[in-house]
Amino acid sequence: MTASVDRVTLVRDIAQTIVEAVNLRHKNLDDITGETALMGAGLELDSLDMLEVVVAVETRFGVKIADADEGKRVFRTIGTIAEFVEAKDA
Amino acid sequence: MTIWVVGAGLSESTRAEALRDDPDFRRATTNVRLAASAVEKALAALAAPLSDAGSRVALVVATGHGELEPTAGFLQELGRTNVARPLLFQNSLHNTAAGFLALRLALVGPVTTVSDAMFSGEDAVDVARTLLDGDADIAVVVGVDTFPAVLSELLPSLYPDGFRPVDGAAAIILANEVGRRQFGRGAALAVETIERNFGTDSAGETPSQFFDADAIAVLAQAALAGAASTASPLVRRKPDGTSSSTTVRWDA
Amino acid sequence: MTAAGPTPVWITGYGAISCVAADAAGTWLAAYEGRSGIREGLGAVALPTESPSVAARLSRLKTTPFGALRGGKALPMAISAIEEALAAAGWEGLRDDDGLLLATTTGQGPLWEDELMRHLLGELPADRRSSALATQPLGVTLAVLRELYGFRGRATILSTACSASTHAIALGHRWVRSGQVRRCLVGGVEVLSRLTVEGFRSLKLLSAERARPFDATRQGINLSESAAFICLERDRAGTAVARVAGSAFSSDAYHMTAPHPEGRGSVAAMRGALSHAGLEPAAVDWIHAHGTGSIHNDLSEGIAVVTVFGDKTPVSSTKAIHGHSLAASGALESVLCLESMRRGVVLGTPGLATPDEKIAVRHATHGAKMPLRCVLKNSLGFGGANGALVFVADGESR
Repeated sequence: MTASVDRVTLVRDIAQTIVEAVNLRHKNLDDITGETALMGAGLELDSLDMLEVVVAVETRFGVKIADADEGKRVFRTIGTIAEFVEAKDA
Repeated sequence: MTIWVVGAGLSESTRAEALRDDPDFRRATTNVRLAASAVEKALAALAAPLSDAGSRVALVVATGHGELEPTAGFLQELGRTNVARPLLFQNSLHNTAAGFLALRLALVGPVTTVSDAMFSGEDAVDVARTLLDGDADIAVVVGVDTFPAVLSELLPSLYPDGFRPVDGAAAIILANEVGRRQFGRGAALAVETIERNFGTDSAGETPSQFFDADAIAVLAQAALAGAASTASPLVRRKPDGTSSSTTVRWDA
Repeated sequence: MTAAGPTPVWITGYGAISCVAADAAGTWLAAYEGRSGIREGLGAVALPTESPSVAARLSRLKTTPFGALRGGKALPMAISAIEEALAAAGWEGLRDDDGLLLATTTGQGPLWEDELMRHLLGELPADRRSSALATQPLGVTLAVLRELYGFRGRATILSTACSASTHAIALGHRWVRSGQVRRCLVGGVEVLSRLTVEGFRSLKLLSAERARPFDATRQGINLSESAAFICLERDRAGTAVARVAGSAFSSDAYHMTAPHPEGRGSVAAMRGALSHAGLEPAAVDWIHAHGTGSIHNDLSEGIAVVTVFGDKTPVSSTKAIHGHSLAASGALESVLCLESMRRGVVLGTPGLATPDEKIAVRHATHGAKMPLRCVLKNSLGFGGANGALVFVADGESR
């Protein structure tokens, strides 16, 4: 399935937001795709990073996570965040 | 009890800046990077790796203002947009630098933060001396303070006589007899006494531009200067009018 | 040190002010009777009418450059607890050969926080700028105490977050034990501030309800304010409840916010304090835990306690009553330990309904009357700084 131009831009935007929020300047933005996981292999974020990332994404995109369970589901990969943001915009 | 300076280092701003690109320091505050820069130089002077002391290592961080930069950042964002940034808050605690350094150096012994305005440095050396009398044989003592640019307008009110603190950190590695034998390399600066003068009638040298923990910088500079150049006592007049006098001697 | 061993360090007086009471006995009674001071998840102190001694002490502010501190809560709270402690110990103020140790995280808190925020938003008139940071250094609180008590002796401030006053008591213990000072006034003061409340909220650590330490349904902590001070000295002068027999510091070196999952640092602090006291774990009658009600803290701490003590030694946390007063918590809860020792009554864990099965400690029976010969106070701090204190009742041999 070909990702739309909008989705590509959104993924990039989300990646940029995360990189800035928790200072991942040592990571190459081009290597971050929709498949990239936030925790574990991927961006290797820890619990403190995740709190900051949620706030940064909520602020940047004007979305709000309802509860911890939704947070876990949405903030799994860059792609799942993008889906959430798109759904809120729809 | 006499304690000796077996390692000393002053922070380098270029090194502290470069640490921004080090993945291990990606969440580190300016205080942390400056402190780390000073500590790594001080540790380089030791005759053995710090890990040889096991849990008998103390870490005492001295800071007068604490983490002003993230504190200001947190409050500014909270005030402007009502958003509370978790990372900024976590980094705003006075104990941030100590926690980070303890993690980085894998220190499991006594780790504490001292904050007593202009006497932060003297107090930290004093606390280290107490810990070196039973809890530890070696103590990493770091003084660090930064004054964020966003608050620079407040400086004239804080220091009407024109004093302007310079961001920086200084680290000394203090040791008791056991620690000195294990980690020292020959001659060392012995720290005998530290007197504090609370009156505002103190004479003495112009204070160094270093910040509130300047007693540590002064000891570091004396240790680095060597026997020929170190006078004793080391007298510092503080910007608030108080002063301190540290008695040292070179021990071959 | 004498040939017989280190000098005992007696506790001859203590004082406290919390969100439930203006003094130590009142705070203890509230814990005993299960009366919580937590409202909407926070515990604020209501400043009482000043006692003559507190009023007299605060009136000296007029002759100092620290007048602005009168408008805050930290100073009146600290003076209240200090005057109570000094009176109990029979000390007429402080002498220059005493020690003074203070613990705090936010110091004067709202006094500088409000001004600083307004300055950052560009809303502070130029003539108010000096106040925005003048009271921010923690050292200001110590400087004003020096002025009010005419004290020129040995003092400092420790700021290791939640374990700060435990660290301060441990340091004071060493100062007196080694003979560096004859007496030492040690304590902590913490006031609520937007920084800490919104900060902890952003870390998802707060509970809007009363905290339920060790409970399976616990949701988080209640931040609160308090001030508590203890008088340590080498001379018993007849009325000592107990002595500080041992104390220790340790560091997790694990993570900036999360405690070590098995509480390894806490294990080291508790064992260190026992070893410092020359006692075995079996000697401890009761452990007053840090027990904040946070999911991670209580689990880590519980595992640590079981590692050191097994599942026989009763454990409790009273934070559902008085909340978590950060840097002051170690001192406040030590005062509760001492008051319990004086009365021979154990405090349980108010709010504990369904104990978390993963925390295999023995929970103390609330209100049980028993001689408390030896009590351990445990503290875990943000950033992994831990501390533990061992109190041994007067009349007990070492």
